[in-house]
Amino acid sequence: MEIWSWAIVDKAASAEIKERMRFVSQYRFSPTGVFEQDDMDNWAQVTSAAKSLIGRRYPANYQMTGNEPPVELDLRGRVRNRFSDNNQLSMYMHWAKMLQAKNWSEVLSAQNG
Amino acid sequence: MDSHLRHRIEDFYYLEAELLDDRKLRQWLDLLADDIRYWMPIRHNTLERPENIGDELSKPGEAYYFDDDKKSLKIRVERAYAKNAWAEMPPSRTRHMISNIRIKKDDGNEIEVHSNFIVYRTRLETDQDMFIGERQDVLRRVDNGFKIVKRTIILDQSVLTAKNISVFL
Repeated sequence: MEIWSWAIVDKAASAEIKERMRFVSQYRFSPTGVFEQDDMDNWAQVTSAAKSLIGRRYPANYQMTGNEPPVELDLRGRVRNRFSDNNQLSMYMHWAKMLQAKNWSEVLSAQNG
Repeated sequence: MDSHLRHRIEDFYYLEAELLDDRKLRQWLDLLADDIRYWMPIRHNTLERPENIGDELSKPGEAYYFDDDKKSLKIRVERAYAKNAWAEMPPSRTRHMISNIRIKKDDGNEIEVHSNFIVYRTRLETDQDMFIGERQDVLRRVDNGFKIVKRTIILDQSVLTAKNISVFL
């Protein structure tokens, strides 16, 4: 399993803040991250468990979405202020749109639902 | 090349490897100077054959595996002793093999040394990794021995195939 991750910093932030973010984000979260080191076992084992006999027998539950609407931001995609299943739901809904779309512009014009 | 100096540097590296493999990390930290810079860049695949290895590596101020001073290394060391730092609870088993020791420069006080490493690492039941690459060190003469002032670690991988690097290289 290969993981890509990004750290995002405000474009208007000072050079000092950007440098601090660069250092801290990777110091904590990266293959050597003092937090994320611990998570790697989790990601690999959870993925493996999802493919297990029991994991494949039952449908997955994506109910943890929360009721509040997305935060209004000038970014593509949707942003919410809580841990949720929304990322996973959005990915599958976009995939469904890609399969159903008649052409590429239909795919590009759709907001992720 | 002064073979006596080289033997002393080898002995130093073998001691360092023993401390790391025996998990005596606080003692290992004492082998590092207070102004240590411990730097491990990311290595890219390039579209064309680069002029130098350095062209494949991220630069200071960019992405990294380690970009530590003494203070941030101390936090990493103390973390290894914490019972709830699960990446190393239970701890990795390591074996540091150091070879190809080449003295590049010596100004009488500090010595630039390049060497190759293989760090074999196993964990839990069957997790198995090898970290292989080059160390580019600056050693400073102190008392009867050396301290590491600067270490640059060049890993011979672009995508890291291990789950993490929870050990020191």
